[in-house]
Amino acid sequence: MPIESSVLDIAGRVQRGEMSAAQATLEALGRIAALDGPIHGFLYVAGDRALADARAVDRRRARGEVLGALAGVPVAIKDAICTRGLPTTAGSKILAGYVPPYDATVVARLRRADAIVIGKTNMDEFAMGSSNENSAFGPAKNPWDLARAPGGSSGGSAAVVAARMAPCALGSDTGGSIRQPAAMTGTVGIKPTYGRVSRYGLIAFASSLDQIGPLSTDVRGAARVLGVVSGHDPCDSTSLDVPVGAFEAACDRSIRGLRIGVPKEYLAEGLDPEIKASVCSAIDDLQREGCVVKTVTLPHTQYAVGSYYVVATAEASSNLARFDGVRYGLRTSGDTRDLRAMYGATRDTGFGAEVKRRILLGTFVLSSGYYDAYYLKAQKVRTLIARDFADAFREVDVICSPTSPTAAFRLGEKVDDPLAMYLGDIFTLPASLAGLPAMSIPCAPTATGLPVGLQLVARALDEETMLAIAAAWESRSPARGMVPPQVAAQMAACSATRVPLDARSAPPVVPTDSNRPSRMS
Amino acid sequence: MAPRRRSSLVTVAAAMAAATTGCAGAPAHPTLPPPEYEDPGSSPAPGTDAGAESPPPSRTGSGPAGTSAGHPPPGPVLGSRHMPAAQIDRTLVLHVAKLASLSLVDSEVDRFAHELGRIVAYVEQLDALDTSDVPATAHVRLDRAPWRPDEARPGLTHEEALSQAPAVESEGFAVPLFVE
Repeated sequence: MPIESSVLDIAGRVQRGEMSAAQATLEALGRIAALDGPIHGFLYVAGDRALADARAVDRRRARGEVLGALAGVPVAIKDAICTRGLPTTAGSKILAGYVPPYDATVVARLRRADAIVIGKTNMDEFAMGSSNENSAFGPAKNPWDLARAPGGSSGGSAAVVAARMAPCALGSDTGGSIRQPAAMTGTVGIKPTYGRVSRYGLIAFASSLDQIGPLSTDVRGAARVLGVVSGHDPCDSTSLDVPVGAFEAACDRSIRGLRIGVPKEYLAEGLDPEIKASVCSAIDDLQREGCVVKTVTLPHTQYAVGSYYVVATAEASSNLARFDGVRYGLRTSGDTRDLRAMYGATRDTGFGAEVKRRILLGTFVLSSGYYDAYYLKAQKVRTLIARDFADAFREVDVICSPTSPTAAFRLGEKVDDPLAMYLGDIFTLPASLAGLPAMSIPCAPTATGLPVGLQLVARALDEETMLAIAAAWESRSPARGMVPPQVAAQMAACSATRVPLDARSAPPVVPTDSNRPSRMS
Repeated sequence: MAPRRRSSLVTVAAAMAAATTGCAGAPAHPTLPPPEYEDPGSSPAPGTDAGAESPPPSRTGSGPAGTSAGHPPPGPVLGSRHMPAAQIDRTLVLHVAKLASLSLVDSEVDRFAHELGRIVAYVEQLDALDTSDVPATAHVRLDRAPWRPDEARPGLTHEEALSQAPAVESEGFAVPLFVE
């Protein structure tokens, strides 16, 4: 498998019988063995189970069955998404060792499309974080520079795709948790319209904001995965009963005449000049391709961080009440004769600092005497932010901006300053609060070679227009085909010494370290 | 490197504040606190109850006093726009931790009081917006999300439901005694 094997490439070859699903799986496991030690993108590698699933796909093909849209494609799953029989921790000590008795709807849909679940990816605990440093099992590292964060909270998913350990992954995005790590690792990440993808089986952080979406090495791969996981699900009461879009076909649409809005608030003075130059150059390019570029205003942008961190923490404080040491996960006994003491001790031992901080903030803003002043106020400001977008989308079809105000920052740089970390989410939070589809695609890297993300936001349920522009940009992006140098070198070394893969050979041994909650199956 | 990055973030937010001042529908208050706020760590020393005993007046007249936990909470802190940062002190943190069933260790109480104080002070910039006529959005519109039929369907087996429990007794979840 060449370094640039994409989702479509692997699925096509497996469907045509040019490669077995087992070969594709072994290839991915080999890359994980070679590369993931220092990156730590995976919390669990499915090993034998993945290979058994792949061989089942191969047997179905041998019987003459038509294979699904993701035939033999290795997919990495964020560890907040339940996988039957595979450990699922949400990056938290309180769920260490938890093995769900059911698959999330998105995982069931991937399996039905003949995808191979290759492992579970590292993340900020309960998806609360922007750097992966809040993982209870140690952070994932950015494959472009191991001293830097891969972003978060879906940092593990982004890192394993960037390092080509899997061509695609699922993440979840509450305030930017797919888009920001995609930007920091040079991958494509989509947060669909709220309600487009079922949340059944996603360990909840903030239910009115959470949305599962794909990360991939390219736009078409992300579009295909999105098509597979989208669609109404009776198990999620917020799942929209709308047709699944023609996401892949949209990638070939003409973009001539489409109107691109550039929010003046997002390109304000103070933005990292390299990020600004990269994004402006991409927008100029799209204009040359026939798009009409207009300046728009989203006047309440500056209030998004405040509104989000009240709404999201309020919902989190309620959602995380379920972790009480009774039905699953950790129990810290303490005084065995006192139920409340058991709750308190379990939660204090099991949750990390950021999770406690957000539970406390969320409990505070919902508590008697403060509800109106904080929670209700934040919900009203959320309305104003949604109205900003509604007004802007009367004039333009897609809104274009940087995904993040900086490129990947160093591990440890912001870990002691929660608010500085929160402020880094200013460009991704507004679309989350408004429930709109948004994505990040790579644009020109910084002078030091770090990836930069271009964010596109579209009208509700109009992922197709967003994907048309993304695909058009991708075909001319200076970041096209860029792979982290260490990954390229490692893969070149592997290909030089590799013996031809045999699907019957034993899977490679994946190194584990003491930080990991589990081992290979 | 670290200071440069951090300051650039703050500058972005500050620039955004400047860029949006006076926009239609967003009358930014002239005394709007900058997004990077005064550090309220300088307000009441950890361990004092100043905030709890001298709550600022309520702007919203929200909610009744007292809570289900029976602990008298400090009054609403989002006072007038000119009020200093919220008084997030040890008493309030311990009260909220009790509501959230978190048994914090002592060092955590001071740390969270400091950190939450800074975050809440930042959040108070929302107070610059007049939202008296704005409806709240608890959820984006979901008018195409039908309810499923109320029909019995297969679910987890009894064994599956108990399989992840930390303690099981008599085919149920075992918990410490909670009634005498």
